[in-house]
Amino acid sequence: MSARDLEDIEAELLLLALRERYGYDFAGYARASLIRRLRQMVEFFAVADLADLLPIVLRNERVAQAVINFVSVPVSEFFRDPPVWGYVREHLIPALESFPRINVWQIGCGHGQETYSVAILLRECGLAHKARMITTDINADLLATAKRGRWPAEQFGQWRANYLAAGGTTDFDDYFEHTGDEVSIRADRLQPIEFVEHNLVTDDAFLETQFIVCRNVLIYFGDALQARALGVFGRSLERGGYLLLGTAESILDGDPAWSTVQPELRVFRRTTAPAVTCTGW
Amino acid sequence: MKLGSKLVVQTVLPAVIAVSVLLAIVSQVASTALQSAAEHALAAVADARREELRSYLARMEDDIRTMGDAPAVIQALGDFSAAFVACGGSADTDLQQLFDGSGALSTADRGQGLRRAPGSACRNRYGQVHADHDAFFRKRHTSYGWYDMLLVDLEGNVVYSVRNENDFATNLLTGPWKETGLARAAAIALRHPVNGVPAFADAARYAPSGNRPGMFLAIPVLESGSGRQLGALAVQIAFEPLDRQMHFKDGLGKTGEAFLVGTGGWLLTNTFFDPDFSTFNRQLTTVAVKRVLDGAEGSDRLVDYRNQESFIAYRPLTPFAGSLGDQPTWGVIAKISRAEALASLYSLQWLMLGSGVLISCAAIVFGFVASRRLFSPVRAMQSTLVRLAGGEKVPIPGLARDDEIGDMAKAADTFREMSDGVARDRWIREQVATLTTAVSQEPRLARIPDIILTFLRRQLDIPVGSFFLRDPGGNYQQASTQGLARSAHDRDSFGPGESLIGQCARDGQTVTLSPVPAGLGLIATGLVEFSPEQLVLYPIAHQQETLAVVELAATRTLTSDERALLAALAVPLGLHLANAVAAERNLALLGESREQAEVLSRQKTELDLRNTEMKALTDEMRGQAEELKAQNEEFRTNQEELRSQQEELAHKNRALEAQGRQLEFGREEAEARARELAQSNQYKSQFLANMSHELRTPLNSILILARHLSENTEGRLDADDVESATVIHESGSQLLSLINDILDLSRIEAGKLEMLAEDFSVSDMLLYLRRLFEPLAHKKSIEFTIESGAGDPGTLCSDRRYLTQVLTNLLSNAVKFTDEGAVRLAVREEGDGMVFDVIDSGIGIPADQIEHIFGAFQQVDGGTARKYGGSGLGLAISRQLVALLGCRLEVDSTPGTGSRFSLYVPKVPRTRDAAAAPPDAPPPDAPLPDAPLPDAPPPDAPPPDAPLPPAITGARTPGDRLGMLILVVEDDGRLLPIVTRLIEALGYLVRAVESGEKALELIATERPAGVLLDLGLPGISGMEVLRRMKSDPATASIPVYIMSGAADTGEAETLGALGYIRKPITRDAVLAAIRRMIGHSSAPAATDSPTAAAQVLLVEDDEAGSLAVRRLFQNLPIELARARDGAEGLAALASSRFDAIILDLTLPDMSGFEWLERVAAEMPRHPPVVVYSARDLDNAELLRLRAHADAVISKGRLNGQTSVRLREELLFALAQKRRQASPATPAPAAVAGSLLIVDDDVRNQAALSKVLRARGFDVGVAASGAQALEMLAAGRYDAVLTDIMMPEMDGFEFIRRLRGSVAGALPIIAVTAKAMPGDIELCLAAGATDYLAKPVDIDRLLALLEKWL
Repeated sequence: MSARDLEDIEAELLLLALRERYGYDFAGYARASLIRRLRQMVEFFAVADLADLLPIVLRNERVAQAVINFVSVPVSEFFRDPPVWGYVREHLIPALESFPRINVWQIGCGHGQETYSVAILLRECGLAHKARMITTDINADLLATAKRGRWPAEQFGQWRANYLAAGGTTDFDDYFEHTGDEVSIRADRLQPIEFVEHNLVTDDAFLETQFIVCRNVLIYFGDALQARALGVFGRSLERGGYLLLGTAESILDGDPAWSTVQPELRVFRRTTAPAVTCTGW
Repeated sequence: MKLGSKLVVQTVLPAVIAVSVLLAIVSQVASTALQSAAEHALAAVADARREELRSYLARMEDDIRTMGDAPAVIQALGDFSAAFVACGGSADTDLQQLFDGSGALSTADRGQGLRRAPGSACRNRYGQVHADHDAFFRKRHTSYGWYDMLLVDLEGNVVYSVRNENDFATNLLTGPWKETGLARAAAIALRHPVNGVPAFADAARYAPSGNRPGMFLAIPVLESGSGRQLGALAVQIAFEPLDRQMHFKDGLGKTGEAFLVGTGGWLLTNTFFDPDFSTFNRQLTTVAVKRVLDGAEGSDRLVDYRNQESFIAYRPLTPFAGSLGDQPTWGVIAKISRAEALASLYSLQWLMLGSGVLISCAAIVFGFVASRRLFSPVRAMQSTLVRLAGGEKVPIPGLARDDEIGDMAKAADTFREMSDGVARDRWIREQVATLTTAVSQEPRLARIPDIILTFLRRQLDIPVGSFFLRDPGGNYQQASTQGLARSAHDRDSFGPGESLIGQCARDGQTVTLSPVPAGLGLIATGLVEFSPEQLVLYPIAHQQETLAVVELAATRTLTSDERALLAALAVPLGLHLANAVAAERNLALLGESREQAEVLSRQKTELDLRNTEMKALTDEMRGQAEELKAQNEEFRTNQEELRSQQEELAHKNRALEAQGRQLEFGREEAEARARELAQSNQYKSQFLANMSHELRTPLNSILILARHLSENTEGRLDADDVESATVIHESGSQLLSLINDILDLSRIEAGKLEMLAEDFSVSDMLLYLRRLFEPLAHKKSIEFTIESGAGDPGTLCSDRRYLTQVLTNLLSNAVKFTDEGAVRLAVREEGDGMVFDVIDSGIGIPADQIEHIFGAFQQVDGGTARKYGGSGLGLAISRQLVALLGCRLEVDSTPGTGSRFSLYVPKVPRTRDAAAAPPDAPPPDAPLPDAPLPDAPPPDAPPPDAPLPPAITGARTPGDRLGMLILVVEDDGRLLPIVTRLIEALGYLVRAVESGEKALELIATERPAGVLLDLGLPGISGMEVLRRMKSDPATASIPVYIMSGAADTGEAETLGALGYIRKPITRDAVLAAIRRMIGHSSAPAATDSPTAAAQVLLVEDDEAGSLAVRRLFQNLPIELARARDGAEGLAALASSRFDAIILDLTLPDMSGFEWLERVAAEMPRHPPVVVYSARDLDNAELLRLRAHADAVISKGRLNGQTSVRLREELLFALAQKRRQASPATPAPAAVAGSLLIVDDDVRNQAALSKVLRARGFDVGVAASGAQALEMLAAGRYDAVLTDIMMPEMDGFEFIRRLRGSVAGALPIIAVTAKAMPGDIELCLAAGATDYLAKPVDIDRLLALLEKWL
């Protein structure tokens, strides 16, 4: 058996541990990059191989969380999946306008590209004045990175194309400053964004929201964790508020508390009020 | 427990117990018998006493009767009466003085006394009479044993008394003693005399006799002969005879007695135990007395009046039962103390106890003696066995006995022999083990014979031994000798079979020589030589091969044990010897292989050397690889360079392209012009679309108002006005239909229609067209036919909606332009498609006009427009639709004879693919209905394919989910969609099913608000469905409307149906049915609402806004009442009842906030409020609204989608209202404390402050940490509730600052959505007093507050 096969088995065991012990399911994740990241974990924790990492991950929640954080860093870009953002711009934002206050909760900030995409949309649709943006992540480092808002310029062309494909109306470049090989967001042109640590696995809703963007986070969750996360969303969303999930994600079928607005783009809507009004937190 | 004791216990104890039980039973039986005997004896005594008493009293009664009849008495009474009368009024005093205080005069004094009495004739005369008769009475008095005898005259005077006590000469009826027993008895005898029957007065203390007890009998005395009553004879009965009767002690023992109790428990006889006179001195209240006075008789074990346990028998007695007067109940009581009655029992018990103890003692003693005798041999056996077990060799006693002990001894002997054998075996095994251990530990074969010999000599006490070991050649070589003085034999090697050694080896059998012939001085000491007693040769073999022979010379014969040891040694020694031989061989082999290994190791060292050389070579190669990599790097740099050159090139290319573009500029411009032209057409269409929206809005109002006017409901208009209004309405309708057409056309031109191809049945469509046009044709008296050839035309795949619209347009034109003749629709197949021919015999179209008729706003000539009406857009729309559908339309017409329009429809749509028809995915919350209507839709039968307004297609929008569900039960597939859409258009959810079974199922699970029920269903009939529904209490209240083609027999109504629709169904009928059902089902919720529609108050000053809202709800059963300002709104709210309120915030007279707060203050249970406002709201304002409003909706500026949410929220509010009565808000209690809530989230602020205020807290709200610090500095709060996740200053920071400044011991409760232990620790570390997890459980919060306040 080659070393590679061995590593495959070890990775499989490690992922099994993460799923069975903590409820994170990485089955939907590209296997090659996953293993690459796991290999980096081996280096980081200075252990001999993945098999050595396994008992630590099983016993030590902090290490497990670190591994999950590290493995689940989404690769993101501005206006990824342009049809989704086109739909948001055309249909969701006008509908959201009926709320006197629009709290947008974006979950899983990644490196911030998606966060700022939402902010740009709000600004361009003229709703920034009554919107509040909160982005949360389990990983404080990622939050800091996202807040800094600086990225290698390599992909900038792709981002611009996405922006236009998603129905962007102004000059995308105006939102950025180019410095050498990097671009950084001009956050002063957007409304303030709150970067907050929050763990969907343990923490609950903390704010009444009208729009929740949670793309490509639930794919790592097993059924029970997904159901919990949806419960949190349900407690947070005002009646009539919208939930945007990643293209590979869906909410449990037949839940009368949600209606499907756009099945392909994974747009859902909260149809009932939060379960108990008197404990409405 | 020892066996002896056990035996004693087991044999003696049962005997003792049995005796005890027997004794107990005997004593119990005896006791019962004795008791019952005592009771019987007592009862007999009581009975005897009663009988004696009874006969005594009867005798007394007879006596007095005899006396009453005695002539002497009659004579005496007459005389005494006369004498008494003679004395006149002072008779009493005079006569009483005749006697002294003691009552009687001595016989000696009497006559003189009387005679000497102061000169009174009266006394003299009385004295005379007294002297005559007194002796008689005294004699009788003594013989009868009465205490006193008295004569009473008719007036009641006591004219004579034997004792002359104080009653003498008094009048018993009027005198001082009229209350006494005597007076009572006498009165009866005088006033109600019965001849021969005495009257009795019960015993009581009698004052005239010095208060001693007395009882009386009185009997009337009659004059003999005439029977005239003279008076009465009374006797005072003495108690002493009674006493005597009772004190007869026979059968009562020492403590027993019998006595008589009278009324009230007074003793009538003396008791045996009172030293004094007890008659009437002692009153008894014991149980027995109470029972007997109640008339009971019996005997029982009771406590007597002396508080002694006694047996008491009691018998009631009525004295003088046959007499008049008192009928008291007396009791005869006989008693004896229990102790005495049972004395003999106790002595019996003692006797039994004594004998029991004696028997037990005897049994125990006997048991001990017997067991001792039985067990002494056993005990001897036991001690012997114990000693045997300890290893002593002792004789076993009792072997000679032939009882069980003897058997036991024999068995023990056998066991001893077995144990000896075992000991020997163990000894042998130990020896074998010792020797084999010694042998196995010796690696060298050469030394083993010595070891074996040494061992054998020591253990068997043998002086000389010799060991012959087989050598590789098969000969037995002497390997060791011990104790041999000299070489007794010069040979030390023997072949097999040679000498006894060899023979022994060959046979494998032990050879014993005994006795050894004398003279062989084999054994030598320093002093003597002597011959051995016995010579033993024994072989040591392994696997039938003799490996060695041992020769031993003993000075005595070996015991059997020793022989056994030798025999036992043979096998293990053989094994060990064989092993040793093999080991010796292996050792030799090992030596060899070790040498070989050394050779190998030398070779390996050489190989290592070569390896090192190889490694050096590899390193060299790696170096070369590095070099290669560096070259690669260089190569990459070159590539970069290349790329930059390429980019440069590209740059140049772009420049070139720019030039090219400039060149093409001219051409492009030309193209742009063309595009612009096309675009401007598009713009036109878009403009039209927008315009028609704008136009329709006011037009709608005009239509509604004109309709209202023309209906003239209030009767204020005259006929002309109505006519005008009607004209306005009709014109408006035409205008609207025109605008709809324009809109339709413009939408098509703007490419906003989407084709949806589906398979559908052509015959269905034809049926629809027939239903649509037959009535129209009939109205115009022209013929209308549809020819579809033979058989079913099959199915088509196309957009059914638009295809139907095209055909409808063509047919309605045909009918419109045909005044006589016929209109035909012919369907035929052609190639891979189908052709629909619309043929009419109308006015026709001139050839040069044919192209124009498809243009917008074109009819054949201007005049026709006026004549035939219509917008003229129908064909234009049709042509566009035909193009979109991928069909083809051809016209063939001759003016004056008619036209033929042929529509070619491919079976499979030649789709202008999806891209061609720009996607017009209607957003889920699409704006309000603005759907085009087909050219001539009959008002009461909406086409099944009519495009439905997207916003009210029921289940799609969440708002309508909240509406009510109507169930349609109908098996006619054509009717079903029509009814369904009709109901959907009214804004209700619809479920349709085709059978009664499914209907019942659905009714049970969904509880619809109403059911439209067809009667003719397959399976369960509609009537049965209705019956079942109404008989189930759970569904009986659901209103049901019947739809049926049959006439109404009234049966449905008696079963509980709400109404009946006769088919064919009209829109209005369905509408009315739905309204009635909804009104019916929500009736309990809105009893004072006159109509079924929900009443909604719209508070809005702006006309346009008001109209917009009105339009939004025009299709729903909602009635809007509008208030133009706040005051009007409040008035409306006060005067009538509303189900919901829509509130604008900008009002002319007050702000919406104030309005809402006033409503909340005046109406604690106000209807739900939906705020609909264009104002921007800050947090504080939002919080103010959230306190009372159910939803806050901003009017949007983007494209009006916000109104959709208004609709949803209003429907939701109405549904909520229907579902639950708003809970009574608890009256705020006394202020429980003041709290500051710090949270950035308005919902949290609103929810918490509402709940806490309702619980009586004074609540302040701060939206940020900074604001909270200010508020805390300014005011006093008892506790702070703070969120953790807040922007700018988070909860931790806020708590820290608070703790750092004013807080002191202020309780701070952190409310956090984070649940990890670390988060909680952070809260507490920052200074929070306690924490609470989100979502907040209000009970927990209250508990925390209670804990910390």
